[in-house]
Amino acid sequence: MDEREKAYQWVDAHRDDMVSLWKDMVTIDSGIGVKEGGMAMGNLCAGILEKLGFSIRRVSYEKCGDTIIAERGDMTKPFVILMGHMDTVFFKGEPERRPFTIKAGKAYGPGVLDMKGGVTILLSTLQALEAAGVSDFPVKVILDADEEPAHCFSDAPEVIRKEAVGAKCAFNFETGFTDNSLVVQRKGCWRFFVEVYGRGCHVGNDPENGRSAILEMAHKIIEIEKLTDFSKEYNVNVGTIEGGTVANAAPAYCKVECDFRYTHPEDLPVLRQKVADVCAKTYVPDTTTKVSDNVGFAVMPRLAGNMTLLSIAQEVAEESGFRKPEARLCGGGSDAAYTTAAGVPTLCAVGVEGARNHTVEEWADVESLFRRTKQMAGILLKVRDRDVIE
Amino acid sequence: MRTLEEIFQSIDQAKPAMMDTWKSLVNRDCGSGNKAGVDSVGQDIRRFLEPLGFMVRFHEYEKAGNMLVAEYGDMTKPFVILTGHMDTVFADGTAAERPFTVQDGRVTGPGVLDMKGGITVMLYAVKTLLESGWNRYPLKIILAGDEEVGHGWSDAAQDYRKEARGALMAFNYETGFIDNGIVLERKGCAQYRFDFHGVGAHAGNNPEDGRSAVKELCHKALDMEALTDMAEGTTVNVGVIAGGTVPNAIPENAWCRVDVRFRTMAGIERVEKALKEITDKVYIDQVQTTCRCEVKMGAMERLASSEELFDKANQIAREAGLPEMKAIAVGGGSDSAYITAEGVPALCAMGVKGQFNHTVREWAKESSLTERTKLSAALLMKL
Repeated sequence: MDEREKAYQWVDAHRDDMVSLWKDMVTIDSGIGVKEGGMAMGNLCAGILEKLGFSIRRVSYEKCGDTIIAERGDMTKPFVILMGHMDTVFFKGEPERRPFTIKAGKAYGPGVLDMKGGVTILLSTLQALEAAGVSDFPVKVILDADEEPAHCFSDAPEVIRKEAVGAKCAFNFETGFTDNSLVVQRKGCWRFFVEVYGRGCHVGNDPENGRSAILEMAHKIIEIEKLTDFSKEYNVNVGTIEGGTVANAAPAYCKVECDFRYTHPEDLPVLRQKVADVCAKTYVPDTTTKVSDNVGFAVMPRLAGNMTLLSIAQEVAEESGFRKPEARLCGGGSDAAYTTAAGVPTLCAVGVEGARNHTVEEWADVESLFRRTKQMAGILLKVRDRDVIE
Repeated sequence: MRTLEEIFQSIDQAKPAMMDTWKSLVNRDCGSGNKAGVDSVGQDIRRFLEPLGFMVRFHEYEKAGNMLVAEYGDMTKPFVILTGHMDTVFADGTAAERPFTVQDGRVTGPGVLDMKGGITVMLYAVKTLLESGWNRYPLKIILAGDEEVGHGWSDAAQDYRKEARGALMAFNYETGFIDNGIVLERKGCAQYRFDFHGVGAHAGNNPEDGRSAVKELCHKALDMEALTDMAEGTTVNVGVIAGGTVPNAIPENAWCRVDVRFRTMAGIERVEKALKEITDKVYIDQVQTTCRCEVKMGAMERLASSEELFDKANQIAREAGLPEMKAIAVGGGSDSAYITAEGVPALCAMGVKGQFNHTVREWAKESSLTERTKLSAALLMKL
């Protein structure tokens, strides 16, 4: 029996253990801002990795759990990165309200899909390979604890970029898609606020003194929305708006939140300038406009190596009788932006398959936990002996 | 019949009683939503007027304070309307929190200015005259119970117009102005809520499927504001706006509240027609717009007969040694709109003087209580 068969057998024999680990993770409350939950997740994962022979380093933060960096093997040689995040998008107390459950082949619970199922696959793959006698290739595991709030509590993006130096490839165990596609590219997102300050007045008694912030904003929104150009693979959305207080006063203030998605990193400075130009123009005299950055995320560019990794995944699927994974361009962001920024070919969304992320309807396909662990074991067996992925 | 001088003396002597009446009208909760409170004011006023010879009846409403109508004399003849409202804008409990207080010539308490002071002026002008043998005109007192909410919960607006028909002139005892301005003209006010319903989508994954309700709203906000015509006396204000839930979703829903002020009925008719066209127009394919009128109060149009009435009134005030008045136009509405709509000349803001209506800072000038009572008495004697 070859190594891959042995690894697959381990998976078949440890289905209950894998689900149990998955359940333990979902039960840990690592929602947004729950530092102790992030720490508990880190401790659980570090414990398993230590048993597998990894040495652990931690980067600690005041407001969120540690970023765990686990290494095994000769790190002077090109290594493989397995990565993910341990936090969820939910608020404190969610696992108690909505504990891990399985119904008709679907698993439910906070973060079951995004991405505790993926972290389970990450750890299980290493366990399966060890059982198959494969533990000699250099691997670095990076798990952070504040991806959902876009790393507003940590410098994880910098840490990932730095830790990625010297890696030959990376796999991010993010939410998998139900069509088995794998993500080779992600759009970037620039979030920004536009605020307009006008001058209030009572519309009955002195209407001529009003300078409507809403009117000024309406002019600008129309111009901002015109910047969308699908042929250039970018689009802008004015997502929320609020302004004014009562109908009978000229509104003195109006604020919008915008979301600019772009595919090519070089477009970002151009887009910023375009928005600045729109906002520099004044339609309603005496109003002032302010643009400020909100938290967004970077592009995961489609490196040539990303496609190589995909073709390796396709080979494994074909050889193992799994559905062939296709390439996907995803509109949402992930930490894969930071490994690709370091030039490391990356395959993203290799976690469990499911849908309805970030909602209480979030679900994951239980069977995909096992199939995707096998698939990842197969991929790692193919990349471990390659020095370069191009 | 006594002389004007004697009447003024009686008014000065009645001041303690007037202060008591004012206080009892202020020290009770009678916000527009408190029907029982407003109706209790109506009953007290009925008990005040019946001994003077008034016939008192009420237009009864299910959800709003009843409208009091008190008539004196031969109503088949041209009569004089004295009018106002009994409700306030304040919540229950306010009367106990900050009761009627007099300090340094300033009177405070909920509705002290708007318009319990005005009611007191009206009641004592009438009482003093009738007790002196005055019999110059038939009188009709109309006091509404839900003015502050624009009669949105009753038929009072229609009832007002019916009651006003056939009148010779009208005085509205609304909030008086510190600078002695008398209102001949008030803008009408209409408020609308627009709702926009588009198609939501994820900004990253399928933005091309989205149909932004916010975008549609912005196009239409520009169209609405463009309806403003200062020369016509019409303003359109998109006052409040909201839409969307998160930045990364194409907003499915948005809404806005729009306030329209107008000096003439022609102005509001033009705007209403245009708003309907704006509602029906579609800028962003598949985004639906609905419009609902939430408030509508007519304009108190400036009648030539009101101007004549004012000139005569100002002359009488001067001769009586009362302060010079000035005719003004204001943006805020009152029930005088229903009176001028019937072609009846009206002088509004005849009540006690003060500032800061509808706020906790509301105050009334104590000395204006007798001054304004004398003014009304003089006008009813000389006009």
